[in-house]
Amino acid sequence: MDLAQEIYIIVIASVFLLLVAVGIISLLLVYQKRQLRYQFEKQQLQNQYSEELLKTRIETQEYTLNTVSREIHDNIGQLLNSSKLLIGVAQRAPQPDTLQTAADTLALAIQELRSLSKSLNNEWLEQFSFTENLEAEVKRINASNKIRMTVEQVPLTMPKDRQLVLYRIVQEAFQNALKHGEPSHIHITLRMVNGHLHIDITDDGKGFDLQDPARQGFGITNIKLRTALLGGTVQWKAGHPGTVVLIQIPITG
Amino acid sequence: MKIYFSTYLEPVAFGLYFGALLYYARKVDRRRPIVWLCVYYGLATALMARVSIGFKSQEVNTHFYNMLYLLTGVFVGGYYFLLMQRPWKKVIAAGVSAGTALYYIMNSVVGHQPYFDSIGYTLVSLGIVILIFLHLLQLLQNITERLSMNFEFWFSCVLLFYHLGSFAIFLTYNYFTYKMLAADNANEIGIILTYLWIVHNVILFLGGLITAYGTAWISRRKFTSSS
Repeated sequence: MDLAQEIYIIVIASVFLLLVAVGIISLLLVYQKRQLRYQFEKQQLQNQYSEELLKTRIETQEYTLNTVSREIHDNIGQLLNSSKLLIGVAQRAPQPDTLQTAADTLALAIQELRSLSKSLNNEWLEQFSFTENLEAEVKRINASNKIRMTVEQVPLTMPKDRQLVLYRIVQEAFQNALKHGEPSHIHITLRMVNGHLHIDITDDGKGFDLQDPARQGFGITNIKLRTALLGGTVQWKAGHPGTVVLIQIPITG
Repeated sequence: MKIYFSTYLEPVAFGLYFGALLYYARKVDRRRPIVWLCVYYGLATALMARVSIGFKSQEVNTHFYNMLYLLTGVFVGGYYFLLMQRPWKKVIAAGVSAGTALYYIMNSVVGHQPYFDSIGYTLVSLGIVILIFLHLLQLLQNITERLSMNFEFWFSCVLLFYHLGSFAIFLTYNYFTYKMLAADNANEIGIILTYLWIVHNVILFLGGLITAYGTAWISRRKFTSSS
């Protein structure tokens, strides 16, 4: 190899190594730019989640207050009225049975008040249970004797805030069916499949056109958004008759 | 013109690094690693200025150049020693500094190396490139701001640019020196070696320009965002 060739190789090698240096620096910059964008999106998602959680808490509290108001008026109020009437009867013609019935009615009213006060507790989120709230809601709807609602539950080990968001998703889904589908029966199934919680909400109502943009209201948008925030998916399918809502949520931790 | 590039460009380039770092230390960051770099570039500028002064009288300057790789290994190794967070990385940085000092003592002090020791430069560059990669890895794991706003990133990129760009020159310089000493066409090889050193000086100068631009850019951005 003559001298000129050797020099030529050294210059080529130097240029190559310089390009390697420039390439490494460019790669680092691109990598970091992507990393920052990912962190920004993650932060945005977290903010959105916090916002949605706050909204969900307010909605649930409002809903609870309405339920409490109705319960006081329809249930506890009636029990107290009955007690008053029974005591009045006992005052006019004292009878042990009448007084005992009045005492039992008052005891029932106190029990109802205790369970109501639980739902108004300040630490309600810490005590929130998806299972208990869903069962209470099913009981309340069944009490109307217009619609039959059944539920198959599984024990849930999700954090309380995620349980609350999930509860609002399921509540929104069957409220939609109640409002628009006129069903006689709603069935909710919860099951665990490979670390995912599957929730199927089936009704035998009129169903609705899944492609109709007029039916893509706030309720459905809320369900989609909240399910996505929990990292899950939601699907609507036409039932025979009615509608089936299929929700899948990953269970972490 | 050729003399300017082969001899006078070096102190100018080192002076550029020194000035940029001094400006950055005064305006933005006065922590130990920056001060440490200022000391290094100050000494390197003085050393290369001394070489340039002695050039006209044709004095032997290889011992100055050998001192320069000693300074580079010790100070840049020390700079990364101050920056590294994990103990094992600090050990590697200290190893580069100590290894350079040991190599210099063995070759230049005890061994009386009469020629420009490009092997010393090659080993120092290799050690520094390893430290740069370790540091960039650490930086990527911890950084929350934009990389381009970070001085350590800018400076590591400049060092990578210089040490990788000059690596092939350092690696082969000794080979050409010995070839020149043994050859009939020594003058011709000597000219080629001068050209190779010019390429090195240009890379060094470009590194200085990038450092000056980077420090000015970061300072301006930091002042704009804080005011």
